Amino acid sequence: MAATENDKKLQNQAQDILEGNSKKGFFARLLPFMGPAFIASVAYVDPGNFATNIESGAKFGYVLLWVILASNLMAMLIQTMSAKLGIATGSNLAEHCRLRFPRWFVFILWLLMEVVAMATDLAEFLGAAVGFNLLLGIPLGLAAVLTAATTFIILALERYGFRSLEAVITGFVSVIAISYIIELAIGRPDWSQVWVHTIIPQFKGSESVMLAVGILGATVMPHAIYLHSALMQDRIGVRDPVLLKKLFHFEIIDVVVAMGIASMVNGAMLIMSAATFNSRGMVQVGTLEQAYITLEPLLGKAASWVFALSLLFSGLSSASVGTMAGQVIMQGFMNFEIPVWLRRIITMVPSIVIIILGVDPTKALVFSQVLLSFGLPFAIIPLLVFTSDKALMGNLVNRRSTKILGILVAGIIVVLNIYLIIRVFQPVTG
Amino acid sequence: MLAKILIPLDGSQSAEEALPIAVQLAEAYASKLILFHGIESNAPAKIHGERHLQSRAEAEVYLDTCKAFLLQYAASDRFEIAVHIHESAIDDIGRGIIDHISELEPDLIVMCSHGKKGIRKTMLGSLPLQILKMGKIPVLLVQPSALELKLEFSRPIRTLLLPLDSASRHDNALITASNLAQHLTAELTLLTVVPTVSTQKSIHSHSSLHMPLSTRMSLEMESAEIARHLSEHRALIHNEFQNPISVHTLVARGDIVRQIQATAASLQACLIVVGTHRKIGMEAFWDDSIAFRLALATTLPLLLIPV
Repeated sequence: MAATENDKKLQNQAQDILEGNSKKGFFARLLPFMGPAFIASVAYVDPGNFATNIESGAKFGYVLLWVILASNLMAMLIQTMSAKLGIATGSNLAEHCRLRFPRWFVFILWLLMEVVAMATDLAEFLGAAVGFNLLLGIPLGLAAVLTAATTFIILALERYGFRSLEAVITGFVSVIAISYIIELAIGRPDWSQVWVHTIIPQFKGSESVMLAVGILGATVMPHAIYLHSALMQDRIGVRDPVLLKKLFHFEIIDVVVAMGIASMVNGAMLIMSAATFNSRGMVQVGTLEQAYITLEPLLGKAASWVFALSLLFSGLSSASVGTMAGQVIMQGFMNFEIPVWLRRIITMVPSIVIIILGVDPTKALVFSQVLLSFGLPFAIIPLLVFTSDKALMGNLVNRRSTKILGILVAGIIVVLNIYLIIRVFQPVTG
Repeated sequence: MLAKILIPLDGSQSAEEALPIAVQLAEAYASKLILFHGIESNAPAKIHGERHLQSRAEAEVYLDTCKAFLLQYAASDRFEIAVHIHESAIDDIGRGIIDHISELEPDLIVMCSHGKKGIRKTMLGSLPLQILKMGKIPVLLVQPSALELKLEFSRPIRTLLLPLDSASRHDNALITASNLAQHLTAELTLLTVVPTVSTQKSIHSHSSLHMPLSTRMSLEMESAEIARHLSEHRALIHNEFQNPISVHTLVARGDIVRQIQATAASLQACLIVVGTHRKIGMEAFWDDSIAFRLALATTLPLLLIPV
């Protein structure tokens, strides 16, 4: 069956569900989308998630599970809103900022978001470098050189449309995602603790706040907000409000199902880290280098290389995300572009510096996700402003409830970031 | 539109392959054909196994022979043929041709792509593409025949293919293509290729991966919208030209360059007309320039119109 025939079949199935024509049960109706949604969910799980989940589980047990749930729910809201902006207007978030905000403010936003794009890239690069380091047993410096070369090759191959490479990479990351979920069944975590901490918000000191902020950054992803809003970029404008609304509903299915699966994978990672390290008092060993131990109940001796491969491929497959986000951000805010290869070189520099300085990769990864969280309000607040503008959004404007939820999400993130700053500096000022 | 057509010749049979199509255009537009040669300093006798002119005397004899040959085989005497030889030796033939653009003021340069091959051609671009980049006037790129070289004067241009992008960035090629179709009494097909989820590139590859369902739907919506947009182009063309032109529209799905080639094959297109931002070599590679990829891939004559 040709690719486009497959597309039409999937869309017709989605159409039936949206219009309530399907006679099947809820899960049966969702089944046709699970394949693409699973692949999408795996794409949402990157080295930043690996690092924050493993370290959170090791250091604090199940305490931060509620953060994973809350972050994913927030991400569902924000990412659907972001794509909705692109669908309704045909322009991305950065372009709207440039058109509507004062020049000086646009310049500041651009600089902040470039830092965010670099932090994204840092996480992917470090993840891949650690993957090479674990897999091949080579020094991290050499692994960094190998990562740089490989990401360039992937960037070049993408020009030739080597999307099948993406499928291979996704396949490997899927292995680890499925493994963690299966391990929930065989690993025997403390389920009573799991349910309690999934629902009840709690912190245990400033480090747990930092990790919570890191999980937030790794899940909600400010760079993805800009990329999602570019869904309709460079496309011929479609103005039929009925069609646009349908497209928006499809997009909700995409985000909710994919992020729902991603939240299960992230949750499973944290739970297994808690069950493997924290429950045995090994609270200081939650690094990426030792994280493979969490997979040993299922994979035995294969755990180390499976984890290393998955970390490597997760980093490589996400390598272009930071680059693409940076391109969208620069083009949108400044109406200017640099060659993609030049951006790749520039964004690799911080990663290479960190490795040369001997900074612990896991800590650097977690810190990069914390940076992402600090970048979130500068993406979410403009997004809320634009998606609440009826003149701009037409019939896709935010409902009152969506607006309130969006303000709540932005408020929680800002308060959490400020709280982290206060807790971090408290010993200095106190 | 095509008052003067410049054809650089170096004495090789490959370069001569540009002549048949140049003659057809000259007949259609009553153009002046300018057979041009620039004497290269330290020119070898052969390049890539083919003869290469080395002196002014040799070039004069050669170009006069070409002129006589064309006058003998061309279907009419509607056009004029001039010969121009650059006086002093030049090191860079591309630069030499460019320098003559302001002097000779051609509306079109017709060249056969020969010389650089493989990775050098990909990284640096062929000589015609380098001239396109520097000269900023349209270049008609003729690909060398794989088989025994023949000057096929008997095959008229009857089918033109014009790929257009969905963002209308290359629409100025529409005017040229319509004009050509009218003068050549050819059929014109307007083609836009919409990628599928698996063939999307650049920033859209992100949405393919993260939002597969909505990406599929948005591409379907785009296909429908483009079909309507191309119909509007067709209506505009019909209104613009007094003599009716046969214009067809087509929306294809998949990899852009492959679909253009496949469509050209199925239509038995004689000429592909495409707008270009004149990016060549590595710049074109990183920017995923369709015109450049097509220039490397197609075996059909390719008219590159700077946008």
